[in-house]
Amino acid sequence: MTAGEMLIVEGLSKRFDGVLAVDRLSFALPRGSVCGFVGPNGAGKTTTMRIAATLEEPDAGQVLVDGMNILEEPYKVRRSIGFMPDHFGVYPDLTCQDYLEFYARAYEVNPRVRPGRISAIMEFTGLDRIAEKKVETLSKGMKQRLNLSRALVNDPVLLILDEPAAGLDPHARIEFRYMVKSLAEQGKTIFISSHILADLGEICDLILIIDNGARVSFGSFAQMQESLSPEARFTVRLVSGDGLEGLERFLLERPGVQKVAPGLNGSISFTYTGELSEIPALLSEMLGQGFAVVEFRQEAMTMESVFLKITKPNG
Amino acid sequence: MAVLSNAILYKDTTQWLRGRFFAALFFGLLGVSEFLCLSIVLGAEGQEGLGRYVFDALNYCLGFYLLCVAVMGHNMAVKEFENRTFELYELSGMSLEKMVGGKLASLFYQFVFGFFCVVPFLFFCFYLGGTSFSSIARTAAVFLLAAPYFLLSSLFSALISRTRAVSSFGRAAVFALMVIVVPLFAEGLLILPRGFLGFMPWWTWISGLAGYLLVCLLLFYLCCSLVSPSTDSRELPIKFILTLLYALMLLLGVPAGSSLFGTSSLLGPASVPVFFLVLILGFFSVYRPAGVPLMARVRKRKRRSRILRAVFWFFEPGPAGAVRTLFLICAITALHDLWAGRLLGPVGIAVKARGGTPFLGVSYAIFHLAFPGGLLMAVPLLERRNNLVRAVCMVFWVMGAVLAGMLLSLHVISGSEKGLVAFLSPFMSMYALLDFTQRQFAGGPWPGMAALVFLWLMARMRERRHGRMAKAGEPS
Repeated sequence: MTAGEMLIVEGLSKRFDGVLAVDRLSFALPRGSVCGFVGPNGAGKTTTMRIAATLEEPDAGQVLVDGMNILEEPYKVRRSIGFMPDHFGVYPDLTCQDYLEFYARAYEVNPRVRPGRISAIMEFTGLDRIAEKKVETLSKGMKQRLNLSRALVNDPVLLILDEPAAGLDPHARIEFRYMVKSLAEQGKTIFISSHILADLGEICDLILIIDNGARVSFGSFAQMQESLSPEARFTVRLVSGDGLEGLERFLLERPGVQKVAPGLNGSISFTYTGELSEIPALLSEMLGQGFAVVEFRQEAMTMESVFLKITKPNG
Repeated sequence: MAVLSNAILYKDTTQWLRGRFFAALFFGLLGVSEFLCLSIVLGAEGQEGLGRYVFDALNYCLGFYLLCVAVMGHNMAVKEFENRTFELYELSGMSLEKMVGGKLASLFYQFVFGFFCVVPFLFFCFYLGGTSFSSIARTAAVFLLAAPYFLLSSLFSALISRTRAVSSFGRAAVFALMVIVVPLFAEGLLILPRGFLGFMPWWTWISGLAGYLLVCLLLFYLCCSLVSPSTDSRELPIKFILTLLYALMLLLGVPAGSSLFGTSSLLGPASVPVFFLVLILGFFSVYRPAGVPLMARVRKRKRRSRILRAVFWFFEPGPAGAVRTLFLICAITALHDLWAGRLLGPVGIAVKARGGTPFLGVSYAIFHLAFPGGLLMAVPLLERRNNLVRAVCMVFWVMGAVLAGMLLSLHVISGSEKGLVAFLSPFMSMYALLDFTQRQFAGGPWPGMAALVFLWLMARMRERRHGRMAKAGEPS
């Protein structure tokens, strides 16, 4: 283990009634990183998160949180993590303020520090405006904010967020993304699972993909893109479709250009196998030939396509 | 002060005071109490001793209010269990005792609130006549003392109804147990205690109260154990308290004639709760995976004191600790048998006749737990399949009961031999326990001990078999 790693999972396995939920899973999250945890339903994400949160016991392997083994020092581990489960328990007749006050008491936050910490968290999550509103009347988005606030009450160093964006509308998702980014900037390590892959692509430094309980891929999104699609593919779009045939001929004559194919709305796609540093020269030559180029961009694999390609390579 | 700073107490009381039920219950109780007083007094003007009627009516009111609080507490706990909020409390580092203690304290607070609404009306009864001050005070004391047990029962039923670890059989048995203990306790305090064999009446009170407190404590730890069976356990205090309760029943309760532990008329039923407790707790302790939950293991490692480590070893969570505890219970029964039968002379014989014999039924519960378990140890197919083992054990019991029923109805067994049917099934042991005329248990405490030794031997044999298989390179 290195001092720079906040969460280390080594050879983790867990069985439920004979079914292997997690299969020799290993990965490590550096301090201050945001790691997206992706996998099909039933892949073992929640089980892994619950094990890291000391709510389940592994059958094999070990998990270290901030250097502490979850089986050796579970009490300390619990104090240093913030866990946001995929379910949200509503207490009738409690306000947002009461709710956080209750959890702050449960975590035995010093009574002198408690009011300041609660108001700071509410301000951060934007709940300060509705502090006196009853919890059961909150929208899904607000409930998730409250759930996140609860996870922050003990000022954790590691946040484990299980499906925090599930069921949120686009506005709430964007706001939630900002909050996660902001928490990462504060130095918290965040381990987040989600099925909304576009969100993860934007906020995560690392992506861990699992299937059938086993690790399929782990690394940065850019690394995954590169490993799945080593060739650079570009799209060129002209003002009108008139010059497309000429452009196609032009491209086919250039060295390194392959797989030229017409696309939608007067565009052409091609693969470039040469050095990427030669691309500006190719573009200026194209313009010099009189092609009215309005768009020239490198095609990138989306998070969804990366995920599909990794989990269903033949699909 | 520690109770007042409990987070769950804060949450639950805040919820309750803000909720609609609070106002409805509070003003409802006040209104009904006032209405009862007025209607009885105005309806029977001039009649003497009206206080008795008002007093009875108010007691029903208070009882109903206690029931309402218990039901609300039950529903709240069920909801929390379903929402898995207990997990979040666990993550906060809150102990299981604080969780259950907080819930109990908040429910008790709610009850006390209503209780003080009715108390002024109770004293109005005294003014009306027909009831004494001491009976009012005694009733108030019974309510205050019985409330924790009642409220704990409601929490327990909420937790047990949602946990997957307990079968419907276990739940039904526990409810039956709860129903039996309350009247026994109430009877013990309300009817003037009798001295027995020269023991002072206050001895009856003390032993009854001690037993009651232990039952409450046992229920409390049972609730704790049900909160998070996969990560934590309170098996150690449960086993310890159960053993202590059993010893107390035999050594204090029975000779003292405490109603909780058995007056002459309630002697058989009084041992039924213990019979059930031993049977049910043993059933879920003996036939379960050998592993100890994570948090219990960590606590064990942290114990520094040698004495505590030894106590922990003896009553440790898991089947091994359960077998040791059951063995200790059998040993206590044997000692009591010896003490009462040989050492005390005529007084001891009277003590034995009063309570010793029915309590031998408990050793039969142990026999029925250990004997089939020992047999099943020899079946490799059942290894690590605890549910299957439990199911087979239940089939043993049911078949034994059917066989015993046939033997009795065909008069194959009759007269003094009737006690032998207790060997066939725990259901028949209960039959023997409740059959006052034929209450006989062949072999005293020894069948239970013998069955435990048999179980232990079979477990050792299985271990050796595994060792041989491991040496031979076969998967065990």
